[in-house]
Amino acid sequence: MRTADLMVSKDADDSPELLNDLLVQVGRRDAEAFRKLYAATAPRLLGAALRIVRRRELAEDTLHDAFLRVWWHADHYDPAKGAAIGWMITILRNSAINHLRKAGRERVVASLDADEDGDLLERIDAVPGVSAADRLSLVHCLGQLEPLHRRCLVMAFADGWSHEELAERLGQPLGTVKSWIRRSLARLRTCLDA
Amino acid sequence: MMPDDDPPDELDLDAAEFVLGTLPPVERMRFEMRLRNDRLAQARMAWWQRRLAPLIGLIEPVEPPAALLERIERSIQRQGRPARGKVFVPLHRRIWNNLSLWRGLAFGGVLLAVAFGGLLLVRPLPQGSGAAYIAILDDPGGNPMWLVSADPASGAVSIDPVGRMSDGELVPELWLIPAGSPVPVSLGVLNPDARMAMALPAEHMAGIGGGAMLAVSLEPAGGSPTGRPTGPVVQQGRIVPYQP
Repeated sequence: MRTADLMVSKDADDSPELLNDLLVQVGRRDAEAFRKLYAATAPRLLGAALRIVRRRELAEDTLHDAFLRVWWHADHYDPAKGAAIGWMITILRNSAINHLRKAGRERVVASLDADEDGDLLERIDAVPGVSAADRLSLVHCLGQLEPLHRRCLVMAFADGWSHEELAERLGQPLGTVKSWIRRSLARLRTCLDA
Repeated sequence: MMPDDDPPDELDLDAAEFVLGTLPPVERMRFEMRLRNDRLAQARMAWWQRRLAPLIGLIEPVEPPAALLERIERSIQRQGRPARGKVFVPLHRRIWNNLSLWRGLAFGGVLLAVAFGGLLLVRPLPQGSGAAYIAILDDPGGNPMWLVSADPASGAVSIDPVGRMSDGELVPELWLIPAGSPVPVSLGVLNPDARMAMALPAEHMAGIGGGAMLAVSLEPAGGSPTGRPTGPVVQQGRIVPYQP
């Protein structure tokens, strides 16, 4: 276990409030809260950036830019509207997509291959800031989807792939992939709302 | 008034694809614009952010080098808070005769800042020709008011109102100012309450690249009686190529 994960692991699962509070404090320009927030989230966010941009240096630039935005815009974060971790993931992913567009994407082999899919749902770790209830219901509802549709969603999120890249990777027509994603998201919403 | 022509389900799935990252570039930008003022869109985005966030648990953590946090803190100290708005532009009718001024007002490089709901996305717009063109028309305070996207292949142009216009007798009319031409071409009267689609005549399509501008002036009901802008120019933006 990494030290950064360890720092918040006591409170990790089921405690989005801890990160939410830190982010609110960051909004008041609290440098110490910023360091704690960084320690709690940077390793996952760097992992996420690396999955999308593929190059270590670019991933670190992505994380750098994302945390600058977190610092400057945390005062707009409203815990009543959503969890800090989701807010930060969106910033991170936008930063990653910007870096990709500047640097050009390398063609790479899918990192989530078909044979990996079997245990995919068991591999969703607890992460600081994500509540256990949210994690379990997402695992349950993803489990209701067709395996191939589920892979589409997961690859889009994890690898930052577009409709076109997914279609190429899965050897499916573009229209098919688009409708899989739309239909799967609608089913996911119904299941998560239940 | 915000546009409300999308069925709620479409809005929700757009929010989901926005968070998932699969919303195509122009739709993505349209959604970002919508987030500025549309509480329902903000709420649906937040819902999906929370619901999809557990997927980050699939990703192996990678320990950042110790120097990275120091680098971030140095950058914070060095840079000030990024500006949200754009330069105030005193609009005046003589502007129509001063194309170099128009050019000077353009976005200033390829960075386009789109602020919404507390997030600031700085989105680089690649240079060179692309599959689509977009223009964001700002008011003098730097608030985006219209998002225009054009597909040069088909001539299809889509115009979304993304801000709030004050009510009045006058109507907004859209003008194309082709690069190198001081003569604005009317593209018609706009509807401030709903997305509009129009087909750009082929003779104008060639004029949208290379630094052309779009502008909105306020005109009497039915549009300018003279074929040229007669009222104040209230919003403007440069047309830029946009591609994923």
